[in-house]
Amino acid sequence: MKIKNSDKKDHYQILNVNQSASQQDIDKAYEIAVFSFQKNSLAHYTLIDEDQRKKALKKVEEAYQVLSDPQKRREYDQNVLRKKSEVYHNSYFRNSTERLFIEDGDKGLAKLMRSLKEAFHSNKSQKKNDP
Amino acid sequence: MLVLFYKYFDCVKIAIQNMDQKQTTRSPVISIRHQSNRTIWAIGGGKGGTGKTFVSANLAVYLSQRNKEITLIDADLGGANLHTFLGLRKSDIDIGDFLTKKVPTLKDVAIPTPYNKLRLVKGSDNLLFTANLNYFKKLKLIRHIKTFDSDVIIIDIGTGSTYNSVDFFLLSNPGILVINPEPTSIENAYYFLKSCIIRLLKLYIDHYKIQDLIKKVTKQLKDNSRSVYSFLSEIISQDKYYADLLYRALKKFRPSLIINKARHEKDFMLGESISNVVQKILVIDLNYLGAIPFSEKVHKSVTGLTPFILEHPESDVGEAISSIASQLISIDNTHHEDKKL
Repeated sequence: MKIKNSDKKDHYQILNVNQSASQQDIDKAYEIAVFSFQKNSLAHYTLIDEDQRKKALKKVEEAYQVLSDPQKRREYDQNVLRKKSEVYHNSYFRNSTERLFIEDGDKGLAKLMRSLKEAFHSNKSQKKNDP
Repeated sequence: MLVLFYKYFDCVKIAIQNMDQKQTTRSPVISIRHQSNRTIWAIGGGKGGTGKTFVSANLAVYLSQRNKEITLIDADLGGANLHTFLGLRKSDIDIGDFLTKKVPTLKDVAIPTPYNKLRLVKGSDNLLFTANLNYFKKLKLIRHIKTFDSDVIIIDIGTGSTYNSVDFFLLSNPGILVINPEPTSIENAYYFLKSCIIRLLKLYIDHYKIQDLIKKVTKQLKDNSRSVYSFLSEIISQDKYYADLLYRALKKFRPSLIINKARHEKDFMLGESISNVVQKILVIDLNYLGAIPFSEKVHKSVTGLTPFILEHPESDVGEAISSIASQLISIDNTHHEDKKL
């Protein structure tokens, strides 16, 4: 089983910038990323092989092509990132329950059951009220 | 409803796993990551001669001049010479006296220095004994390091990727890598970081009693063609809960990086690139603090037995050290504010 698509890095993560990054930030990040994965760069020395280096550089180029073009960036933000955020919200549920258990031990189970019940009922009443 | 059921099933699984964890005893080494409220900066980097001791001594002197209580510990157990950088030639007492139980506490071997608010725990002359520190002595040393009530405890951990160096590095917040813009130095730094990652993962695996994954950890990380991301994705395929836990453990480990002896423009860019590559390949966040330019004056200050920062505070090297010190203090303030929250 492979790692899920939703866990893969998006263009912003590849260039190591925030989604709100300015064009200037993106250009700077691109410069650093290209410098990092250039053939003779010391930054990846012994850490990756030639194939991995080429793949990494290709991803950087792809990310920059999208993020450096305002139109393509807008479309990317609207389509790809929205889907990713939906997946994130679904997976957040699991993470938050983990935190409940880790921090509160056995009491966490009671808390979780209460919140599950509340979520279930609010969902039910919302459906009833919907025209 | 079906989704809700699956979510609930996941929660129950986590609850069971959590109950199992509660039964395990807390290993002494993993607890050192969690309980230290002290600000400890361990300065390492694998290769010898990169300037770790120079950076340790000058950061300590710089901060002590700015009214910070500093304890400087020479834990380069195989070749201590931090005292020389401070202009101290000889001392009757050193860390070896504590390790051989001649004195009961580490504080007993902390000596005053000519610099106000700076104490030094001098490294030992007895190389054969201290370089081969056993596990229990190391734990005792770590315990005693944390008893110093200084604003910052700086540990010069010396060369190599031994368990001793790695454990001192993992104990700190943050560990600081000092490297030169040379292939050998970078190669050793990556070995060192990988050793830290393997050690950290193993500590968690032992703590949560998931030893069956150890073989896989070691096997995956020995192979250079596999990144830590690939390793974690292998674990995800087996157990998402533990993959998540290990991922978070790696993200908590946030070492810092200093490039020393930078000569060319590309050397100054190298730090950010290394940090970029490490984040992509080894998962961990490596915080780049800046580059210290190469200067002949540094050599003169070492031979003159005077801390560089006192002689040339306005030089490029002096300004780089002060900028690095300010960033480290700001990381420390953020760390303490986070803890309060």
